[in-house]
Amino acid sequence: MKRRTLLVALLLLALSACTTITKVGPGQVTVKDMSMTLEGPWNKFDSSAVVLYQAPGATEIWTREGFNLDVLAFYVGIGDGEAIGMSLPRTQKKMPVFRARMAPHEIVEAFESVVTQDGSVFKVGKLEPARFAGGEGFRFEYELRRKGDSLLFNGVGYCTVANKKLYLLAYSAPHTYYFGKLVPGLESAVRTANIKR
Amino acid sequence: MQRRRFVLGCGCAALGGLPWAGALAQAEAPEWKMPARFARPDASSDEGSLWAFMDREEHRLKQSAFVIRDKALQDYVTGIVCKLAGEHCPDIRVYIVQTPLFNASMAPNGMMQVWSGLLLRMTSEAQLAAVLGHEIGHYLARHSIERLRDAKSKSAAGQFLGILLARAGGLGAISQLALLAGMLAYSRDQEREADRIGVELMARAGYAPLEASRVWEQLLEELKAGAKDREEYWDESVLFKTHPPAAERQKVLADLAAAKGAQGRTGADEYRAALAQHRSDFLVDELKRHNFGETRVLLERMQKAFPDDGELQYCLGEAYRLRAQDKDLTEAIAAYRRAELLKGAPAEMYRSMGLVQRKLGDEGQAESAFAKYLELKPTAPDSALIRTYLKRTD
Repeated sequence: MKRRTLLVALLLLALSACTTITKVGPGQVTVKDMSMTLEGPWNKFDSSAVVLYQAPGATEIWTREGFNLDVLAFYVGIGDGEAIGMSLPRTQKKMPVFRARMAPHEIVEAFESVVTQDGSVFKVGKLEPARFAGGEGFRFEYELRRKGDSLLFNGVGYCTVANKKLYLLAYSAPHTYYFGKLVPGLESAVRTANIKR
Repeated sequence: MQRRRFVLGCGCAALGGLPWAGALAQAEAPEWKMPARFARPDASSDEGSLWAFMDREEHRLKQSAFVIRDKALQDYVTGIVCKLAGEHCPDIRVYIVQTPLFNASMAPNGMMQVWSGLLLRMTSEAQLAAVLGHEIGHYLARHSIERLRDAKSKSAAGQFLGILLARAGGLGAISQLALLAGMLAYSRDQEREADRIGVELMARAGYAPLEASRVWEQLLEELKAGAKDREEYWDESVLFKTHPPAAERQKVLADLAAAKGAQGRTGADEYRAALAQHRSDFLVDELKRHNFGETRVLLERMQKAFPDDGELQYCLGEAYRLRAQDKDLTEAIAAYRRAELLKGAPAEMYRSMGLVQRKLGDEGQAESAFAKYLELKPTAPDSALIRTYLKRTD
């Protein structure tokens, strides 16, 4: 076996050893104390060693088509004074801290700083009030230009603060084809989200 | 953001790494002669492999959306490169890349990258010429191939390099490049030579050579302030482990400049005009680094050059607002108030002012600021949300 092939094989082995993908849904599922009812199945990414740059330190990460394409990141149940997300390996960047009195604009800025640690470029679009998970919240749209391959993603986020905790969902998929195709499924799942308040 | 050396030949320019300029040669070094243009090396040679690797990287870069495609700016920077590189000009291809860090790099195949963070930091054409001249110096002295041959002579590194250059498919392009750049980092002597050539090229092109030392001073100021703000221990001897101390460096630069004649143009006005269209975007990217210490020093330096610029005061306010420690919020308000009296601050300043006033508990001032934002941008994409802020302050 050529050395290069061996190197790749070892790398894949290392990745497969610490990354698992499990099916979630259809039906009712919970992420911490937030519940959702899914019409179809999603895939959940469990990892103890691999960090997805589009969702560093997320509570859970889901996808429909694959983690290189669409990503649903949950940052939920984050208490006042706790960090949102985590710094990328080998960087010691300070992560933003959630405060229950943060304005929506500040929460979006904090989210941006978490998902752009790799040098991706984030641009927020519409930011509007919205009901989410049984209470008042807000919805935001964004674009993310991924640093690694400069692929343009569209994103949509939903957020609320309940019981002084942050509940933020952010979904992104490539601007071309995938976002338009997949976002209706996401929106219908989001409508079922609920938190005991 | 992860900092990585993008390309071979990027001496060491990224903020946080060692700056582009290494030790300078003594002013009395023998006169340097520009070499003739380089022919493309044989594809089967080690240098040919290195060029092929860089060609693949350049192909990827050409398609990147991070390359700023503005013909006027591109022509301006290329024009500076051509003044410096003389007959080598047709062999050098400039790519301006949207990345808010101090960096420029030059690959042996003629691919030059100039990062937006460098453009924002330079105050004149001569300062940019100092950095580009240094990188062209590495190119003209063919330092990359020297390092490649040196690394290959060490058996373990050599074997790995062989794999890397032979189109390793298992690692991503970025990983390959970062590995290669790390293995082929320039030596102190090579940095010294590139500095000497860079100053020589500046002088020949009619730029004030002393500006090279100013770039160095500015960078050091930023690095120190950044370390202090992050409460990191600042030890200059670490920075200068492979480079001479700042005082020595200053003297050598001054000597070199004197030897070349300190006269020359700085081109500050032309530089400002060339950057004008992009400065706001570069400033936004800079603020998003969340590196308060470095950003504050940069903004204060820019304010000296543009004392009546409201946008710079607004950005300083934003830097304070985003850090939000101790008295930062009142500092932010003070900067916004100064910006109000000047021209150039965007409408978003009033939104920021409202957010800060709310945090400070001044609901009346917050309401006025949010109302002003809506007045200036009634159809802003966040206008519906801002209206809910107004309701809360009622």
